[in-house]
Amino acid sequence: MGALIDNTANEALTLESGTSLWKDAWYHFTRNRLALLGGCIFLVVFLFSFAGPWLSPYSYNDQDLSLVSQPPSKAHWMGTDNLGRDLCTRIMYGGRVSIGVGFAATAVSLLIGVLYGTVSGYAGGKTDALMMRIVDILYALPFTIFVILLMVIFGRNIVLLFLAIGAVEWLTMARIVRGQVLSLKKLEFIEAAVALGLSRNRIILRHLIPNVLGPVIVYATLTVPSAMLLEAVLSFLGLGVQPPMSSWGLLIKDGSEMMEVYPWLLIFPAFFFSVTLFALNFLGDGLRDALDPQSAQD
Amino acid sequence: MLKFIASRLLQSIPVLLLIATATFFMVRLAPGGPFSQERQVSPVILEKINEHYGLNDPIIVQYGNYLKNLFKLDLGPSYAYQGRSVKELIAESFPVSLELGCYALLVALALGIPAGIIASLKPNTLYDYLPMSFSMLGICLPTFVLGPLLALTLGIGLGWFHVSGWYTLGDRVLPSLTLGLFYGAYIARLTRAGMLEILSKDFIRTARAKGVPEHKVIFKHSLKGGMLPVVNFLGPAVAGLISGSFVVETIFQIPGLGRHFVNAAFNRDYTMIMGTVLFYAILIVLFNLVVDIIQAAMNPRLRLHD
Repeated sequence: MGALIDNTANEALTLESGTSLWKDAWYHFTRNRLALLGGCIFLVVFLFSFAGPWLSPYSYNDQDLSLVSQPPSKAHWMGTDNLGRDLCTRIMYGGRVSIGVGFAATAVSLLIGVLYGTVSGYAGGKTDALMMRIVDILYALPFTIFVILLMVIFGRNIVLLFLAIGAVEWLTMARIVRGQVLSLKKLEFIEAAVALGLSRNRIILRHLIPNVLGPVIVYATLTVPSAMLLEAVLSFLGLGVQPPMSSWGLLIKDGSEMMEVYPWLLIFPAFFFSVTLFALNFLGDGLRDALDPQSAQD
Repeated sequence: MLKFIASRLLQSIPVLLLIATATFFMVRLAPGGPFSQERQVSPVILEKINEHYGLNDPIIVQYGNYLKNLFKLDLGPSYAYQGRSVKELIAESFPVSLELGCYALLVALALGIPAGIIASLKPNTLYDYLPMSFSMLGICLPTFVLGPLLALTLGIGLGWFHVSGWYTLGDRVLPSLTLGLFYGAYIARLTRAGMLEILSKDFIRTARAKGVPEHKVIFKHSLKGGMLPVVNFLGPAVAGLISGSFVVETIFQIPGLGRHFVNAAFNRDYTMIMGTVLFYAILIVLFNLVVDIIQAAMNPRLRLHD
């Protein structure tokens, strides 16, 4: 029995001789210290934001009016704000919103972008030309302004927030996917798959998608920080997340209004936001080097 | 070339028309009129105000009037600033934003290009890592973090500059730095990548083999090609500078168009919102055209396609 399992395992190994794309990528990724560091930092911030509130003795809305605007202390690690709320806890909740919006918006942009790009690349010819012309035109539009407009008109609710941000960020994704599909379609291994008589679904699932996935993951990782940035800008202007909820942009806004007297109210949220952007950018760069070797020649 | 410019200008007309239509109907879709949420006014007066601004007409008539006025370059009266027209407000505040944007772009180019060139000359040494670490730092410090931090350190801590206002030349420093540093950091990365690609080309090797001095290799042979990614980035950069100006003008209390737009968004000053969006759209479309022309001039390979 044991020998049999060994045998099939060996067979599987010889079938996938050489290294698969993912194994190769993992190898390169784990060699990239900066990217690993970025990944670890992001994991820590993620756990801090999502698991932290369960461990914290305060809620994001608990006010202690006897302890208003206190500097960092043992009870309140990052001090309290002008309403006597624990800043550390508010940063945790803010992180949930900021990171959550970042990922949700990226998911929206992924959905639109991959679909649009695949259709365009597959169809080719005139349909493709028209669809890409539309993308070119949309590129030239002042989209941040439209997001602000949407938030003003339809109220400041969080679902609309990430839908709007996602609707802005899909253009580059569509371009990348379309380019990939277009060039993959012409390659010999797809031709070989067709010649072997594989079904169209199998070609798409087994041969096209895994090869498109690399650049898509890379670009998605880089979309998360830019979506977070857009959310923070909106919240900073007072057009995004509304109090008493918190997001990092909102905390930075509140902090910047009181920085002369209570600098920690600015410094802590700004630190968390910047460190997260830093980590995600390094992670994205590392993934790009690992998954998209063509762009990582230098 | 002229044909190219003309066709691009023609193409932009339907785009702008689309934007005008989209903003018009989006704004009209909004619940509540521009005057319904302010302090309680008697229904008679409200009716009078709505009548005055033509808000009682059927929406198609309003849309027709709006377009007719647009062709006469009339953006209508501002709802929030009584007695002022949107055109006046834009004409008054845009020069301020333009000045800020120019300084910021200057800061970005003056810091980004040299840093990128230095980094590309000795890749993977200290000369590469040092500027690139700073550029990574710049990218991760968004304007609304950098602005307050600069104000806190250079403004309040050292007392060199005022932290708000737009009066003296010194008042220009902090906002321009805040807006420009991010783009400087990005341009440094693009310059480095562009230069690295060009420097690995055969014609550079040939030039070096022929004994062309290094400074000539850099400035005469590679810089033009190496700058292409930076030129490509200028289009999106200007759109970014515009939205960045919303934040920077809010932080430093600068009376520019960006702050007017944000205020209009808060006050539901609909004519002002529509006017500003259209103005920004025209600005961006025109600037993208300029970038395309510069690109074609710098990269002969692109010219074959028109």
